[in-house]
Parts: sequence; structure tokens; C-alpha cells
Amino acid sequence: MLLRLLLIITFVGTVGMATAEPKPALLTPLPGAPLARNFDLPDMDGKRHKLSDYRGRVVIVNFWATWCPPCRKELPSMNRAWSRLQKEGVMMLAVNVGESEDVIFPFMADYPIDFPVLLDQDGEIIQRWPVRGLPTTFVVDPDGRLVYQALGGREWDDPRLLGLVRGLLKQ
Amino acid sequence: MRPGGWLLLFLLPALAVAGIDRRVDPRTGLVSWKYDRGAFELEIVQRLPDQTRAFFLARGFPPAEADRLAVHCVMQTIVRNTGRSGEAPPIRVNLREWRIRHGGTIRPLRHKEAWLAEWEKSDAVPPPARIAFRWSTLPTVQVYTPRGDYNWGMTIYDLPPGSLFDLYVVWHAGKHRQAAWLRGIECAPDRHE
Repeated sequence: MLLRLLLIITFVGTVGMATAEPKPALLTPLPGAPLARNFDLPDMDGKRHKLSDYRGRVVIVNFWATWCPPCRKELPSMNRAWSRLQKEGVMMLAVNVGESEDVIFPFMADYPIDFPVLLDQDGEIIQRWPVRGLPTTFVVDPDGRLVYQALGGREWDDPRLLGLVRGLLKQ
Repeated sequence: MRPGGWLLLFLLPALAVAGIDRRVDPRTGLVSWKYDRGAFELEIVQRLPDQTRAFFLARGFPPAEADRLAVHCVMQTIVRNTGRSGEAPPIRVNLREWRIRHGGTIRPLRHKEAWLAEWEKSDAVPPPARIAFRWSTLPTVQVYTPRGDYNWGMTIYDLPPGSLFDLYVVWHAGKHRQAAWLRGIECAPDRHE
């Protein structure tokens, strides 16, 4: 009897494991949607960007570094997401932490980034944002509130993830 | 086969899943350990002292400090919450609760804050290099929410290259504190490639 039971449990367990496809990770809602801290950072061309410049738009703010493997892994999908979301009015900003243009510029030959790369060279801005590790990405709604967070890399052109970002446009 | 034999056959895979999975990368020879229980997943990967030395030298560490870190048993560490639904509990990890058992003693890890405080005082490591250290090491305290949160970073075990130790890991799944001893973790040898 015990053996039969074990056989049934094992069979059900195996079928369960085989059919439960791992779902790609999405975004974590931030409780209370706190206001995002403003920043004023230069991009690779020296042009300054304030977060408040983009009030009224959805902004995706990604904190990254060239030496961070999951950052490198997600960059191509971020670029693909940018090619779609740019036309819909979404802004994307890649805030590099602690590195200079001399390091980032050659890196971008291998990992093109078509949206603005901002330089937080002294790491001041990342300390003011609720970041615990790299990469961390926030989605800021048109009112300047931190609505979603992604800790670790994501597939940014996943239609379900794009749907969450687009959902903020419609509000 | 006797009933006892069948029982063993069915129980063995379950025991393997609950344990730690040790792998050797055939290309590099580096060893990694993967442990998961519930939605908590931890992976520890050896780093050669030379890898660590090169990483920190390239980020502005003075050679003496890069070398010092390199021979302190640095591992790449990945923590993941594999919970799939929004209702799954968050997982909180505080490295201050972890312990190392080596040479008959049990002691805590030396965390990034202790290293940073030392360099702040001595000024032995310039501020830009400290930024790279801060963000390339695993946060001491972190909450991982379900549906995809993970983080990775180096952890430092303060042991000579080639040391063998047991690691006591603690995590909190919601309100439940859980812990496990991971036995036989090996610091990478200081071999030069």
C-alpha cells in the first residue's frame, strides 16, 4: 500500500515538474509608490538630464555597470524595448555607477545602448535611490512615482513586461 | 527487489533535491555549489585569487590591497527568490546571521561594511575603487521579492586559498527563519594561469 502511494506521489510530482514551465520574471510593484528622488546627471555627450525633465512621461531608470554580468545580459533586451517604447513616449535612462566615459565608450561597441547613458561617477545618486545591487531598474510613472522595481536582470522586451509599462501610459 | 529497496530508490532523488549540488566547470576547473529549499536559492561559485586581483586592480585598487582581498577566499554568490506567484513570501537575507566553521571554530563573515570602514579610516583605497567594491559585493541585508528578484555579488570568507569550510546559511521566508549547514565549501587555490 505504502509502495503504491509512493509510486503515485512520484508520478504526480514528475508530471507536475515537467508541465510547470518557469515563467520569465516580471516587475515588483513598490508599496505606496514613493516619489522618485530627482537627479541631475551628465550623459556621454555632456548633456545634463534631470529626472524632473521627464515629468508627465513614464521613465525607466536602470542602474548598471560594465563589469556586472547580469547588466550586460539584459542590455540587448533593453535596447529592443527602447526601439518599441520610444515611439510611445516612454523614456529610458541607463545610469552607470562609478565608471568613466573611457571605460563605457569601448564597452558600447560590443553592447550598443541607444538610449541616454548617464554618469553617476561618484556613486552619489545610487546611494539616494533604494538600490541594493546591480542591475536594479525602476519604472517611474508620469507623476514621478516609483511604481515598479526589478532587482536583477529581466527580458525587457517580454510582451507581458512591456504591457505593465504601457499600462502606466494609459492612466 | 525487496520493498525496502524500492523505498530507497524513491527516497534517494528526494534527498538529492534537498541537498547541495556541487559542480565542477570542465573548462575552468572552478567549483560551484547550489542549494535550494522552498523559494530560496543560493549559488556559490569559486573565484581564483587571480580573478579577484585583476578585477580590483582594474578598478583602481592599489596592488597591495587588491592582493590582500584576493587571498581572503572570495566567492561569487547568487541569491534568488524562485517563488512564482505574487502571494509567495519575500525572502530576507542578512549575511550577519551566516557563520563559517573552519579549524574547529565558528565565526561570522567579515562584511563589506567592515572593509569599507577600514579603508575610509586608512585611506588605503581611493573612493572610486571603493564604489566598485561596494557594488560588486553582495549586500549584507536584502529582501528578495517573488517573481524574479535575484542579486549576485562577491562574498568574502577571510580564509587562505585552498581552505575547506562549512557555511551556515540563514534566510527568512516571510516570518519563518530557516537555516542550513552547507558542508565542504572549498576556497579556490592560488594557482596562476
